[in-house]
Amino acid sequence: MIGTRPEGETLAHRAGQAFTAFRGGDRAALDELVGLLTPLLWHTVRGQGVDPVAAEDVVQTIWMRLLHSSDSIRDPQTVVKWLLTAARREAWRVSRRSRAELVRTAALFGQEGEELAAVPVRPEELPDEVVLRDTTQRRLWEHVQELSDRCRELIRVIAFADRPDYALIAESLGMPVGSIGPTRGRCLAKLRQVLASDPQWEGSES
Amino acid sequence: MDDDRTLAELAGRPLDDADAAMLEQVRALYDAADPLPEDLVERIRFSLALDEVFDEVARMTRVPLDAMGVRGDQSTGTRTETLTFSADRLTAMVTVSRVGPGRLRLDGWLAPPEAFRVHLRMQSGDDHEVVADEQGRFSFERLDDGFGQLSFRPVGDDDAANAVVTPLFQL
Repeated sequence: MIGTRPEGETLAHRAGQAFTAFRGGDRAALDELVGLLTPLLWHTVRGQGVDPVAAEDVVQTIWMRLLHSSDSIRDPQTVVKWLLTAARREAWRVSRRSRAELVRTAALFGQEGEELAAVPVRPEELPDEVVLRDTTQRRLWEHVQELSDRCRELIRVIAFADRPDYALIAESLGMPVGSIGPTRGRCLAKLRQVLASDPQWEGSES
Repeated sequence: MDDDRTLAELAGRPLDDADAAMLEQVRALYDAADPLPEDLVERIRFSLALDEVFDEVARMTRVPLDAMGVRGDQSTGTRTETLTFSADRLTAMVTVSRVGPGRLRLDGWLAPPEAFRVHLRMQSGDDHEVVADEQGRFSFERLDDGFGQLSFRPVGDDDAANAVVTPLFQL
């Protein structure tokens, strides 16, 4: 729930605590961390246009890399940033490079591999066709689709965190929202503006 | 122009409750439109509960089912799926085929063809281990449906830290 927890009880803070506990030998704390942050990673990776099946693989791979590199993260409070940065980078790689990698892999395995390389490139995924709950949700969907890719990605991810985490997440996704205080930033401002100018939007009156 | 100025002004103000309410709606929107797969968290927890130390996580690439149709014998209901795993140390190509009701086999091929001990850890709790032959080939037979994770370890290398592990994938 956004903004309903006192400071210090934010997602990033709880994640930092769980990660510290895990590194101190508490195995169950890793499970807790996975539960806390997997939604954020999922939406980060899907927000980059990675298809759902590949997105599951990316999210899982990032967690395994964290397990492998956990000792090299100096400040446990930076675990959210580490994961988001890694997920975003890997999603980018997967969505743009998987074809080249397939061809390179195929070359290692001779004739059987050539069958792999002959796989046609899959067409771009169409925008998700979703059945939404009601008209309000459908209108929100349309407005969110009108945002720039970067803004849509940011808003989608911060919606799954707590308000005080916003600046950290924006920074981790490469979109810092300014150094003075938790300002709204252009992406949220844009969505507010778009919704405010939609006469049929009744979702939020400010 | 006016719009731009308003936007900049709006952007510079602190987050308020209206933002929070809007983000709540965005969250509900994505929960409906693109929810986190139900059992993903459980699968991730299993894949992380490895007893072994590892050096590298292989990248997994799925080859679309229809692409390898030439090798699947459709008349007997054989399903063939191919995955590739790439790491700095090795590359593996793995094919999963259905050999009967609830029965699968996994055939793999490693490059470079060195002696690797190949371990298959199933979410069901089953564990299997084989050694790849001199061509780098290995196989597991009579497997059940479910999710599994492979690890590769050089034979005769006692340094456990040299293992390569894969993400969990569906068999």
